[in-house]
Amino acid sequence: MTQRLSSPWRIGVDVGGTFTDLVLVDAAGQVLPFKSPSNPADPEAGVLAAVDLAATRLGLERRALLQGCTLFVHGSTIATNTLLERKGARVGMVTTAGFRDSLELRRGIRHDPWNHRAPYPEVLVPRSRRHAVVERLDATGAVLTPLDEASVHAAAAALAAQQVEAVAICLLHAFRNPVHEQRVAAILRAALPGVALSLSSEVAPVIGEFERGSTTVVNAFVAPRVVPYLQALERRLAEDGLPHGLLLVQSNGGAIAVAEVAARPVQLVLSGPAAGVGAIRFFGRDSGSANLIAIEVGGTSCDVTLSHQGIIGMTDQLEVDGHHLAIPAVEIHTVGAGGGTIARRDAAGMLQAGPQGAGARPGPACYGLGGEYPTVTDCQLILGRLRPGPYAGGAISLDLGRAVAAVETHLAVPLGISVEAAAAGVLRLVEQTIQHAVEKVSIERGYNPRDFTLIACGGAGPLHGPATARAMGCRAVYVPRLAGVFCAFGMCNTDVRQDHVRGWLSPLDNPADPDLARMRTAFAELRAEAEAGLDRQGFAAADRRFVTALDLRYAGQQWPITVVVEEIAAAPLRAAFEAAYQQLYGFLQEGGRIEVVSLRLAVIGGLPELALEVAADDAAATPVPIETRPVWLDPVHGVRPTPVFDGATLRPGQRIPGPAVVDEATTTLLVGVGETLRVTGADNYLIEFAEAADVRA
Amino acid sequence: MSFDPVLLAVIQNGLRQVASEMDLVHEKTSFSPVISEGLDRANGIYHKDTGEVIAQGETGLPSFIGVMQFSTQHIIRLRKDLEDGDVILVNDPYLGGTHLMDVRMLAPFHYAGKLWCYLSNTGHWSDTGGMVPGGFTSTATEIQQEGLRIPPVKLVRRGEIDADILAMVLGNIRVPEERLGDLRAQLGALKVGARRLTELLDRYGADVVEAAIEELKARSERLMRAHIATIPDGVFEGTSYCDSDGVVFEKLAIKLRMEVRGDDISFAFTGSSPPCKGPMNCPADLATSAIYVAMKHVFPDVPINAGCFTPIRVTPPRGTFLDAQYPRPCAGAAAEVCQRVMEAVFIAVGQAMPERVFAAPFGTSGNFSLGGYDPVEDRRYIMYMFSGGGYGGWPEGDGLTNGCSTLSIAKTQPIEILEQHFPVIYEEYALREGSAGPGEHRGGFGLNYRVKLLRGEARASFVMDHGVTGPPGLLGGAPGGMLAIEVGQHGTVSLPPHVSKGEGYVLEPGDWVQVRTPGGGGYGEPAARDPALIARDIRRGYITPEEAEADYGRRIAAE
Repeated sequence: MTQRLSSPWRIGVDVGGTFTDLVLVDAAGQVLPFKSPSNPADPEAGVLAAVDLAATRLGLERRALLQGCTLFVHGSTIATNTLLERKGARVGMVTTAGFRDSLELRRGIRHDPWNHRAPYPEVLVPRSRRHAVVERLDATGAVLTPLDEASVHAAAAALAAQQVEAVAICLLHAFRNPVHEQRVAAILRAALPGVALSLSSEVAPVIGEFERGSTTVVNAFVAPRVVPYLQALERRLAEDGLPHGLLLVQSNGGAIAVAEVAARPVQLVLSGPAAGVGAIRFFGRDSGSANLIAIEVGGTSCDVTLSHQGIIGMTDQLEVDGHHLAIPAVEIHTVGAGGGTIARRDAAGMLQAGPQGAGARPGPACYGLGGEYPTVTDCQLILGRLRPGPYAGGAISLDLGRAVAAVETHLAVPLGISVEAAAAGVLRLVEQTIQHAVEKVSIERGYNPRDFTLIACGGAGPLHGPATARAMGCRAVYVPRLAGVFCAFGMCNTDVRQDHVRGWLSPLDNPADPDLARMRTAFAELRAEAEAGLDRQGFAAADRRFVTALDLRYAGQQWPITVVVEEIAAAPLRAAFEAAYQQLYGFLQEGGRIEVVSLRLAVIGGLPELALEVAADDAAATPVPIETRPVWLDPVHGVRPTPVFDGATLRPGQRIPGPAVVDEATTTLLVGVGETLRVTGADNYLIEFAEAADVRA
Repeated sequence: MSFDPVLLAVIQNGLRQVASEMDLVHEKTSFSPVISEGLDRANGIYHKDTGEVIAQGETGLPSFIGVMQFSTQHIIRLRKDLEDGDVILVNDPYLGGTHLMDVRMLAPFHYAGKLWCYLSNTGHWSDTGGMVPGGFTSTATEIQQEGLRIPPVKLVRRGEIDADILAMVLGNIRVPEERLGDLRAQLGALKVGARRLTELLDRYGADVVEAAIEELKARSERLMRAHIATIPDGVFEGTSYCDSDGVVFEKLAIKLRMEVRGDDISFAFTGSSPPCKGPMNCPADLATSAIYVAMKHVFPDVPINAGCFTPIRVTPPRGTFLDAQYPRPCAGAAAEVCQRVMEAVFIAVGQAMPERVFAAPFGTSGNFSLGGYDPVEDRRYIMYMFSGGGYGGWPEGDGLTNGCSTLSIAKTQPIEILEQHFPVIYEEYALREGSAGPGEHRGGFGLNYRVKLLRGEARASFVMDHGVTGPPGLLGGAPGGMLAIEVGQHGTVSLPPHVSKGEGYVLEPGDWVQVRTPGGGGYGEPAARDPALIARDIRRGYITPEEAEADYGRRIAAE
């Protein structure tokens, strides 16, 4: 393949466990995806291999490809995998005396009321490497017991003997006053040269000794593996011609320079999936809707993200493999529903789909790789929505006979229903799971899905899109053509973003107003610090944006609500909080006192948005189907002869009335009865509903 | 009968989702931290005629699963005058209740102009009046001392809150403005439930959902019966002990007789201790519910609805402390007695099939309340703490350390948050070394904390348990360490005479309370434990080399 590129271009590289996706978007809006195998043993070589693959295919040298690139954004699972595979540094910990077990006590949390047998994941720092120092601050940050430096020296000696590579320092109330943590760090730095230090007051200055400590420990654990890799990669790309620095996608969906994230690599834990944010923003413009709910359905799980008026839901609390992380992250709700989700008859004689999946191996029964149990993909095949034979670019061949056998043996016969009814039932259940996940991010947050367009992506997403959208009353379904490289594409449309959170606690309605003044000062400090960071990265004043927000709650309640504010003044803050509370919970606490729990500042360095290519309207040409095959459409219409189109032949502006199937390179679309498919200006798909007819019954 | 198995599963998930969303609103808008962080609340849907549970939220407090159905049944019996838009408020322990702090609300739900079901919830309020802040009295001898007892009254009449009832309630409890918030949270959850249930019925049709509910109940019953059939037939006994009732220092025995015949199982409490003076009496409905909860722990995969309890027969525990009658006090029933009943079930099931269960967990909620006045902030406060402890060893491994109780999935409050809210300072909050019951798979470790009062005056009270006997082991495993409390006042240290219960400890600045919660029981012979694991436990400081030698009969040096 040799393509004509319009310079300059952007490159997004998303390194996954198996494949590295590279997407290049040129100045004309041309989007070129490349897939190459990842190299977990040498991730730098893996990225360079992907770059070389793209260069070769484009008929360029590596240097030329890099020299023409104005934005090179990297998302990597290296931090995540370091954590999941427990291949991080040998970490020690320093805590306040009396609190060295907070990490292991984990607030007593058990997630499932009925399961107390499954063990907690092993802590990253065993008790023998957690050392207590004598010191104490009170809840306001005032010193109750001065730091006993002899106890720090003793801890340093023990840590040295234990040959730790990194140390997490987490002292009580340090988010209020870092003085003791800083002094401990100074002593350790002298005593333990070459050992990386993570301070809780820097990594995650939030209240909660378990949450802050766990985050700091994960930071210490991944830093020595992640930071040198990123620095080396950046150096290498610069040597090979990249004119600007490497940017990384953080868990908050924004990008950040290597130098800025080196102290807090824990921010990269959700690096890959969070990059979807940039893609969602772009798709919002292309679909003409500011309100979007994205479902990304892969082999084993479905990730749901909501964007309202262009703002993506965020959270501060994540759990990755049982490790708690208090970092600003895109809120992604994940449920076990994907192509490989296994269906079975449960002990009570009911059909069940998930949450267990068959994974890539053995995978669905129809893959013929040894999978015995029926999966969602098997059901799609039985119902004619997928075509038997070569699949996913020819890597796998789908065997209808195996799918039928699996559904028959494990579902249809035991349940006493037909194979088709069982297959349709499995889809219905998995779509209900997806639907509940969508309800969680929308209805439970006070949003009405009727105001949203559903983005269906991931290889298995588009087949479920219309049914889910109709069940939720969404307006339309948008399917990006490159559903399979969603995140790498998103990296090409990202901004630089840094989220600052500062723990706080003060009443909002203090008539004397000193708290408001203190808050304004605190925000001014945060902003000055942020401006300095943007200066270093060379952002022009016009490209800088700051979003000020407060976490507010009724005094006495536990759960705050984040409210974006223009000015720090009591009346507008109260109004904004009450509006948000009303929307979320449907009532107000009349006369309730409001308190400020934390201050937030999002600092954004805007990068130019991707051009939304509006290609020449080619609607005159009528699309021609490649075949017509019987496809089970929905419970009302059952199986119908349905035209099948090759996505590669469709052009912007063209329309196809449902029912229809569209085969794409990495996914398949189903357009139902009463639906119309339109190819958008940026060459993606929009499925619109004629009327809100409900086909659930 | 044949019911579309797909539609059935869809409706089951849909009903559960309605209740879970009620749980969410309830939790997020409550003022009692024990609800918002401790998740000490439950929401559910109940049958319009039988009061049986149809669905409950996935994170609802386990011990409420049975009692809320009994509570609903009592209200159906007593209040024939319920109309659309009414909400009943009740906390009477003798009417399907627990302790006074668990406040229930119930709303008739109408669909297409007629009663279709009841929506109900329970939330643990931080106070309902009575002789000690927080309600965990250990010395009450009649219920009036424990707090305000609310019979089933209409808090809301046809959509309008009855201001008189509200004033009456708030006028009798501490920190009323926060309790008003708790009350609104419960009403808000009922409203959300009604809205979402209406949508569900609109979607699938009321007749279809009703038929599905019957079918789901039948299937849960079949599943539970299939599990019961795997327990060997026979009579098995489990005896557990409460330390004392808080007033008379004598152990209270729960003697449980479990009889299994095919897929039927029945329980009787014959021979258990008679009604007690202090607040460890347990309403009979709660004792029955505790058996349900224990069976659900043993067989966690049975979906919760009335069917899963149908095969379990319980002979009413007449004449024992497990059948609390007015005016017997019962502040310790919900959190403590209930866990001892579960322990007796675990022991009995352990006799029948030790290879499929676990040694006893720590089995106490560790209720500790501190009520006082903060002169700096000029406010009265109630600090209520519950704690985790060690779980029992089980066939595949050691027990959990500091898990929250079998009754809940509560998260304990971060110490930094407690110190921000209350004039106290924690000198330690740590793993309790040496507390695990030895065994091939040892128990998990309990918790050890010490909290000191910084200013003002406060009163401390405790209702805990397992201070006189430890959580028993199984198959040769040893019991876990016993609970211990110490109170330091003016430089003098004292232990509560009832070990795990006490009240009225007046604290002044500098005075402190130390609590050590039990470890879990061990599973299997200690001598069979892998020496490498013993060495690891020594290295981590979980146990000393001396303890290892005493417990495991091996001399293993720390590395």
